[in-house]
Formats: sequence, structure tokens, C-alpha cells
Amino acid sequence: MRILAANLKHLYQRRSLWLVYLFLTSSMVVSVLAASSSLVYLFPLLLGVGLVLGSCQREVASRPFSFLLPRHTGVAPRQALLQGALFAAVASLCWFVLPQPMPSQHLGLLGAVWLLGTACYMAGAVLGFVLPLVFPILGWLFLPFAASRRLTTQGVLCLAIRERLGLAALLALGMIVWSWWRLGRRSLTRRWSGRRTLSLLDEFSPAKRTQYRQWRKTNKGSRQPERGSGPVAPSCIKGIRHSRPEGVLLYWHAVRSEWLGATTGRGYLNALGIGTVFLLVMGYSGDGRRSAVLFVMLANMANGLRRIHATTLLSIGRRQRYALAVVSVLLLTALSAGMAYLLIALSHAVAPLMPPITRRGAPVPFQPFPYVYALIPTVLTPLAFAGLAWRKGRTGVVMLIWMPLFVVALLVPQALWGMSLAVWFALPFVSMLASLGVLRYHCLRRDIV
Amino acid sequence: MNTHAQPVVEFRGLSKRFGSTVALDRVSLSLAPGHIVGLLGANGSGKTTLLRHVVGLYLAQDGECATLGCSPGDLTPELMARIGYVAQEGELLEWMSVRQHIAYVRAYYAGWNQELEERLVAEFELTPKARVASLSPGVWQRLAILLAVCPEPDLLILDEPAAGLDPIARGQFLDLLMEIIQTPDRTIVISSHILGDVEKVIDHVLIMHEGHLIRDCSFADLQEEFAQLVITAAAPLPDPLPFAGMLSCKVSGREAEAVVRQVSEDAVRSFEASHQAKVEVRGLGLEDLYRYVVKGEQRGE
Repeated sequence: MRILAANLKHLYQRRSLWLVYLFLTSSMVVSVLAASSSLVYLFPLLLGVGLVLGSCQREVASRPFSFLLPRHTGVAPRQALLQGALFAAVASLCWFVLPQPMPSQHLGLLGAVWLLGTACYMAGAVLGFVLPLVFPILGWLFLPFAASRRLTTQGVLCLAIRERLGLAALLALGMIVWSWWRLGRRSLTRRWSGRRTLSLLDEFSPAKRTQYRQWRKTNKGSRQPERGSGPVAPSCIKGIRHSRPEGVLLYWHAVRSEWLGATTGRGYLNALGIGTVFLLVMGYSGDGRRSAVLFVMLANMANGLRRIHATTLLSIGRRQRYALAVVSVLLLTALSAGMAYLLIALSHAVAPLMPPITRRGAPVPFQPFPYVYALIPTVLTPLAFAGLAWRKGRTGVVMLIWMPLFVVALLVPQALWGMSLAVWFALPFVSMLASLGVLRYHCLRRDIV
Repeated sequence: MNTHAQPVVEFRGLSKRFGSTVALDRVSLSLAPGHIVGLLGANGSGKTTLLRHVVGLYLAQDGECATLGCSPGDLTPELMARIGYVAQEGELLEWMSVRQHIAYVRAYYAGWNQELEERLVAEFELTPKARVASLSPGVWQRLAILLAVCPEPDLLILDEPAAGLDPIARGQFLDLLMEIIQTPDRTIVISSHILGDVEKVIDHVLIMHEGHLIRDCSFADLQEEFAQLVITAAAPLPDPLPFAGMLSCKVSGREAEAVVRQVSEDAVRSFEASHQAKVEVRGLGLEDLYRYVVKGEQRGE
């Protein structure tokens, strides 16, 4: 019991989890206020929470000292079950009981929902423990959330549970037993022990993601200690070797090694591939204003492309550092705007070929995006670049800044929808000036490390 | 080494490969309780791999392992509680404060030495409220040592424990090891590159080279095997000196310095008589001993 209690303390000791609780609480409040009791929201939500908290257990297991803690292996399933039961109970109440008072004959249904919720949480915990990265999975969980707009309380899942209560409970118990067995395996903790992992918020830190990828590349197929990275090491060496010459050559090599040279072609292809998928989805959103989300994401991804900070490798002064930052932010902005322009042009090119789809009996045609949306990344990229430079290493703080910025970025294009082009074109300049001001202070006045 | 007591660690023909790389090649050894064992070797020689087999992080591909009489893959919680481990990576739970981290690990052990914990917190100058993420590498390492030592383990495995410590902390750490070993039947295995420190405390030596265990002997035996001869003669000395098993020799007129392997008392006396010389026999430090053993291995001796 003492061991379990010590592990449950992680729930409040980890400050990054507070962000999760913030999200969870706001979702529950919204659900209760909106009197929406859709179970389709509840299960992915608990799966997501399980994923995040399961990844925390994986992190503890990855520390070598924890491997030899007596009875530590048995803690993971017990902890997951307890946490899952608690979260599922609270979530079931918020989603299922509080919005609309439930008749007493439906208590069995509530029990089945609670059991299924616990099972979903535990399945999420297993995934979080087994998979090295959780946030891409959370991204995919967005789809059931999006789909749930089309489903109501009487949705398919809810109906299935109502009709087959016993089967649902049995399924949940089976899932719980499987998760318990999977989390309690010694080989799982042995697999993670001593391995580098990304913590909860590290997945949003380009520098830590780079370190992690380097480690993965080096250790592919083996568990040997880190010995350096194949593709990145030559890039670093080039950066150092070319730090001597002054002028254009220095800037070229610095910029190249900062994000062009060290980013693999696969990274660009991934960005373009994901953009194309979203392009197809957003083209049918029925409202061009919603498609702004695609370009907001593009701006975010462009910032994520930066892999290594060549400026830290180069023996340069502060003024040169500032000049490099200016060159980098200009090029990165141009790159993200270029990619946005490419996607918009693609949407115009494929528009005549895309057939209309039918939604709620009405035809929905594919709508190409307005070209003015290519300006969204030019507004957001400089701000995000400056923000990341400013709070480098404080991912939690960056996230707290970025999340409202993301919401604002989604709302601003809609607000500006009817505005003149002059406003649209003025915004990138304002953003760039603000960014350069921040970078100037950061490079010339602040402590660099 | 005392071979009568049940070995704390026993390997027989242990091999481990990572892809095409052979990390350990048919390693056999037996560590008796009550010793401080120095595990020496260059980077990539297989030290960490060996230690990870001891604690069960790696499982043997070929051969047999036993830690505290049990296969490392099947260590029970009771046996685990008897093993302390400071890993090379030294990674801890950085989101906790020092106090929280100690409390977290303490929860797992019934036999946690609270008094030792309080003493080490003071000696290592650990700030209980400080977050682990904000600690310097040296302080981080001290905390890792505290966490491994306070459960009072019978077998303490230290993989590069002193790398991040300043000279004062290293001194405290070595004193602590000497204190721990006072308890009968305790064993400490320490892997380190700081040989000058290690030689002050170890009484047994394991030397790894390219996945092979090339030396498994007591430190005293290793010191006896190699000797440095400082020679002063009345007449100019021959170059090279006429000693069998000579590893290095520097002659400068009537003075010379040489390192020889397995030189006998008789050979020294005979040389003194024949060259009217005075020969002073000195022991070598661990760093020199290690260098000559590895060089000998490379020459195939």
C-alpha cells in the first residue's frame, strides 16, 4: 500500500500533468453545462488520459534505478486500475448523470459505462507504456471526437451498451484483465529501463525531439549506449568546419545546418502528406473559414522542423547570432508560406476533379482555399519562432502560451474574413517586427545559455 | 578471492551480442562476498553490459549467470532489496524534489537506513526542496548514490559513480564505500575511469578488454606481478637492461628506470651484484598496472 501511495503522488508531483487536468476539468464542465451525455466523448477521453498517465509510468520505468526497486513491476497495473476506476467514475458522473438526472433502473447502465471507462483507461495506459510517443496517438483520438458531432446520446455505441449490458461488462472485464497482465510483465520494464524516452511535454520541444531521434537512430536494433548519430553528426561537423569564413558562406552553412541540412526529406514529405490529408478533409468542411486551422497547423509544423541549433555550435559573436536568427526566421517564414501556397494551389488544381459529397441530404462541394490564407503562416511563424527562442527548454510555459495563441489564430482569420486585403497584408509585417524585436533582445541582451 | 563462501555473482561462459557487435565474449567469473571489486576497461570494453547482466537488465544469450544465487531474470523482490545500483546514465525522476525522490524510493524498502539518509543529505549538501531537474550533475550523482546506499544492500553495483563528483565529494564517497564494506559479507562492484580514486578502496580487480575478461585477480596479486625498478649504478648501465619480462626501459648513463613483469628477488639481487648497482623496487599505481595489462593483451601475452 505504501508503494502504491508513493506512486499515486506522481499525479500531483508532476506539474506537466496539471495541463492535462486543466483540459479534463474544462471538458467536464463544458459537458455538464451543455447537458451533453454522449458516450462517444467519454471513452476516447479516458483512453487519452490513460495514454498520458501510462506514458508517465513508462518514464519511471525508463530510469535504471527503478528496475531494481522491489515490487515495482507490480505497481503499474495496480496503479492503472485504481486511477482508471477513479477517472472513469468521475467522468461517468459528469457525462452521464449530471447533465440529465438518470432513472434508478439505469444504474446497471452506469455500472457498465464505468467498467468500460476503466477498461478504456487501462488500455490507454498499456498503449502509453508500450509506445515511445503518445501525442501522435492523441492526435488520432481527435477523429472520434470530430465524428461524435454526428452522433447523439442514442448513438451506436450507447445503443449497443444499452442493449447488451452483460456483453459490454464482460468485454470491459476482459480488457481490464488483459491490460493488468500486460502492464505487470517484467520484460516490459526491462525493455524500457535505461532507454531514452520523451517525457510528457518533451514531445513539443524540438531540441529534445532531436536528441531522442538521434538516440533512436543510433540504437536501432541494439541496446548499446549512445555513440553519436550518423546523419546529424556530419551536419554538426560541417557547421563547425564552416564557421570560420565570414559573410554569406557562414550564413548559408548556419541556416543549412540549422534546419535544412539536418532535417530529413522524410520530415518534409510527412508535413506535406499530412497537409494533403487535411486538405481533402477541410475542402469538404463546407465553410472556407474553418480551413484556417490547416494553415495554423502548418505554421506550427514549420517551427517543429528545426532540428539542431547550429548557432550553439558556431563560434560567433552576439551580433552575428542575431543576424543568423533574422535570416533563419525569414527563411522559415518563407518556407511555411511557400508550403501553404503549394497546398492552396493544389486545392485549386484538384477542385474540378473532386466530386461533391452528400451530408444530411444536401450536396457539399469541394471548396478550394483562398490564396490569402498563405499569409497565416507568415503571421504565426515569426511569433512562434520568437516564442520558442524566448522560452527554450521551458516546454510547459511554451505550451501555455501556444494553446491560447492557437485558439486566437483560429478565431482571427474568421474575424478578418470580410476585412480588406490591406489588413491581411499588414499583419505579417507587424508580426515580423514584433518577432525581430524579441529576437534582438534575446540575442543581444539576454544570457544565451 | 575467498572461494569458500557462496559467490555473490557468478558468470559461466556469458556472451552477449548486439547485432554483429560482440559486447561480451564467454566471460566467466565468480565474486565472493566481502570485497570491493574494481571493474576497469576502456570505453566500449563491455563493463556496463557486464553490470547490466548482474542486475538482470540484460539477459544472457549464451552461458549462465547467477546473482545472489539466483538467475538475474528471476530475482525476487527480497533479492532485489539486497542489490543497490547506480547506473551510468544516472537518470532520476527530475520532476520531483530531492525530498520527494528520497521518500519515493524509501517507500520500497523495509530496511531503509533513515539515519544514514539524514547523514548523507547533510554531508552531500543536498537541498531537500530543490527540484531534481535543477541539480548540477555532481549533486545529481550524489543523490543517486544516496538512493543506492541507504537500503543497505548486500551487493552494491556502481557504474561510473564518481564521474560527476568534485574532489571533495569523491573523497566523501570513497570514505562511504569503506564504511559500507565494514559490514561483513557486503560486496561492492565499482566501474570507474578515475583509477587514482578507485585504487584507494578496491581489493579485487576485473579488467575488461573488447568484451573479454582479461584479468580477474586480487589487487595485491596484480601489484606483485608488475614492478618498477629504479636503478642507480657506479658505472654506465647497459641498454636495454638484462631483465626478463621487461615492459619499458629508460636508461640514462648510470641511472635507469624500468617496468618489469614477474621479476624475482633473485634476479634483482643478481643484477645488483653484477653491475654494482642499487635497485629500488617500487609498486605501480592502478593506472599504470591497467595500461600494462591491456598492452600485454594487445600483444597477445
